[in-house]
Amino acid sequence: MLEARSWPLRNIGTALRGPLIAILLGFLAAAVLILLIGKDPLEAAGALWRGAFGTPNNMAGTLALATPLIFSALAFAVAFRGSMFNAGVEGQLIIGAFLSAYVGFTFDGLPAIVHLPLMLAAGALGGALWALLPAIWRVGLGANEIVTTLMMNFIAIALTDYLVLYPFRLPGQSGSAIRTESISPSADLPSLWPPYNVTIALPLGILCVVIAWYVLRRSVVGYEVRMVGSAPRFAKTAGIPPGRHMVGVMMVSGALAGLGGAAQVGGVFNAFVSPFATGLGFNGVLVALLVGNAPLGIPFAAVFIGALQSGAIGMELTTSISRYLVAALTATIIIFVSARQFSGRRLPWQTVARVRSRQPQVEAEVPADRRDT
Amino acid sequence: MEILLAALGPGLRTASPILLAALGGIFTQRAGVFNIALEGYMLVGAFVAVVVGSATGSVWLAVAAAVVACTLLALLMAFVVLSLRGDAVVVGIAVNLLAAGLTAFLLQQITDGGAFLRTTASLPNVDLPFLADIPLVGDLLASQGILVWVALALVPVIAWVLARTSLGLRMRAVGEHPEAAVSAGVNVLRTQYIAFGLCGALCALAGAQLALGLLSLFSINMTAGRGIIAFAAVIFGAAAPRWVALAALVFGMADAVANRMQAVGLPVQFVLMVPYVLTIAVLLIAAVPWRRLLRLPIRAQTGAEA
Repeated sequence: MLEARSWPLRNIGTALRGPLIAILLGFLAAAVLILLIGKDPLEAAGALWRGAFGTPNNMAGTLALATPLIFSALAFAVAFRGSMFNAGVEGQLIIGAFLSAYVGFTFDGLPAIVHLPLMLAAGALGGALWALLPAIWRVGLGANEIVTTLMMNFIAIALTDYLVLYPFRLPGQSGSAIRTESISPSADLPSLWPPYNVTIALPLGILCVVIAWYVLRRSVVGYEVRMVGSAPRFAKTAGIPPGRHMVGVMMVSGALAGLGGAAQVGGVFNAFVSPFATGLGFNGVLVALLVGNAPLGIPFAAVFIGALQSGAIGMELTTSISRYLVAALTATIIIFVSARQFSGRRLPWQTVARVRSRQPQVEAEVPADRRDT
Repeated sequence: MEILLAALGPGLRTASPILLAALGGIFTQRAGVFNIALEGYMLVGAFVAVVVGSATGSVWLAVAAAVVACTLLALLMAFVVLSLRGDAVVVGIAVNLLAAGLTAFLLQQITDGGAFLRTTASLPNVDLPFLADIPLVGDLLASQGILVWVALALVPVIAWVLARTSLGLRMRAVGEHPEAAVSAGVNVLRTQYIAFGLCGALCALAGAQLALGLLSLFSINMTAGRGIIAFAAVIFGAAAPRWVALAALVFGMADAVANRMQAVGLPVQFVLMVPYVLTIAVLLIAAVPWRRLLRLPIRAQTGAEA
C-alpha cells in the first residue's frame, strides 16, 4: 500500500489524492485569511497566477525558482528512501555552492566544456563531503543523523560567511549581502531561454530525477537501499550491509544538494553570496514531502512551489497582500500532507504505542538504540 | 578575558530567551518527541506579545496573550503529530515556516508593509541588591529583567517536577518506553499533549523576553535561529534541566561574546558556530561505547567499526 502511494506511475489516482486535498485545504485557509483582512481572495488568486505564469518573464522566474528545489528535494527524498532523515540539505547545498564558486573563479581560461563539468563536480563533492560526516557518525557511533545534519547547516552557514568575509573578500563591498569575485564566463551555465536564467540546470535536474527513479526502482542497489529503509531487519538477515548503504545514500543525497548549490552559483548569482540559500534546502524538504518522496513527482511539486514563490511577488505588487502569505500557505499544505501521509488508515484514537512500533525511524531518541538498525 | 567578563551580564540577558525555550523543549524531549518547532513558537510568542503590548500598553496582558497563543499553537502541532501522526521533524519544519510566514504577513498588514513594529511596553527589571556585593561581576548581575529570574528559578522547579511528581514520572515513562507506559495504565497521548502545552507556554515566555525584555519591538524573523540553539541545548544537556540550563547559558554567552567581537571588528563566525559544534561533540562523545572501549580494547575496535 505504501509502495503504491509512493510511486505515482503505479497508481496515479491514489498518489495524487492526498497532496491535492492538502493543497485545496491550504488555499481555502489562505482565502479565509485574505477575507479577514478585507481583501478579495479571487483577485489575489488571479494576481498570483499572473505573477507565476502571466508573462514570459514571470514564467521564467517560476522555472528559475523551481530548479534548485528539484535538486534539494531529490536530495532529501533519496536519503529518506534509504532510511536517513537528511535535515542538512541546506548546509550541503551551501558548501557545494561555495566549492563550485571557488572552482568557477579560480580556474580561469579553461574551455567551457571542461570548466562547467568541473564546477558542477566540485559542487557535488562539497555536498557529499558535508553529508559524509553525519553519515559516518550515524553508522559508526549511532549518533542521530537528524540532529547532526540539522546542526551542520548552521556550521556551514557560519563557515562560508567567514570565508566570504575574510579570505575571499572582494574589496569595496558593504551591506548585508557580500559576494566573492564572479566566476569566469566559462563556468557560467548556458541559458536555455535567453535572456532569462532558465539554465541547463533544469534539464540536468530532471535527468537526475529520472536516474534516481530508475536506480531506486529497477536496480539491485536501489532494491537493497529501499530494503534497508523500509525493512532494516529483513535487509540485515538477507546479508545487505546497512551501514555501507546508509553512508552511500547520504553521500548521493549530499552530492545532489551540492549540485543544486552549483546550479544557483552558475545560473543565478555567478558568484558565492552570503547569506546564500535562505530556505532553499528546507523548501526542498517540503517539495519532497508534498509528493511523498517519490522522485518522479518532484519536478511537478518543485514547479508548483516555484510558481507560488514567483507569483507571490506579483501578488504583492498588484494587490499589496504581503508575499509572506505564500510561506504560510506552503507550510499549511505541508502540515495537511504530513498528517495524511503518515497516518495511513489508522484513526486518531488508536494508541500511540502501536503506531510507534510501525515508525522506527521517527521514534528513536537515544542514539545508542539505533546501533543495530 | 575582558571580553568574556564584559559579556557576562549581557550574556545572561541574551541567554534568557534561549534558556526559557530550552526549558520548554525539555518537556517534549522527555515525552519522546523531537521538537524543533521551538523556533516557531518563540516567534509567535514575540509577535503576539508586541502586538498586544502596543495595542493595550499593558506588558502583563501582552505576556498572557503570548502564553495563550503559543500554548494553542503547540497543542495544534501536538494534534497533527500525536493524533494525526505526522512526523514530528517534518511538522516542526512546517510549523517554523508557518510561524515565520504568518507573523511576517500579519506584521506587514498591520504596519502597511513595514519591517518592524515598536512597543513601549517593556518588562520591568528586578534588582537583587545582595548580588551587587559579588566582586567583579556584581554590578552586571544585580539588575536583570524579571523573566531572567523566572527562567533561573524554573530550572530547579522543572527538575523537581520531572523527578518527583507523578506528571514528571509519566512523562519520562512515555518518552523512554511508551509500551511499558501504556501497560502501566498511563495515558500516553494526554501526557504528550501536556508536554506540548507546557513547551508552548515556556516558548511564549522566551519570545516575550526577546521582544519585550531585550528589544521592545518585533521584526520579521527576529528569533533568527535562537529556537534551534535552544533545541541544541536540550540535546546537549540530554534533557536534564541543570545541564540544559548550563548549555543555554554558555550558548547565550557565546552570542554576547560574538556581539562584542563584532563591535571591534573581529571575525565572529567561529564563535557563532560554538553551540552547534559543541552539541555535535557532546552527542558523539556520548555515543562512543566508552565502557567497552576501556574494558576490552581489542574487540571494542572491531565493534566500533560494525
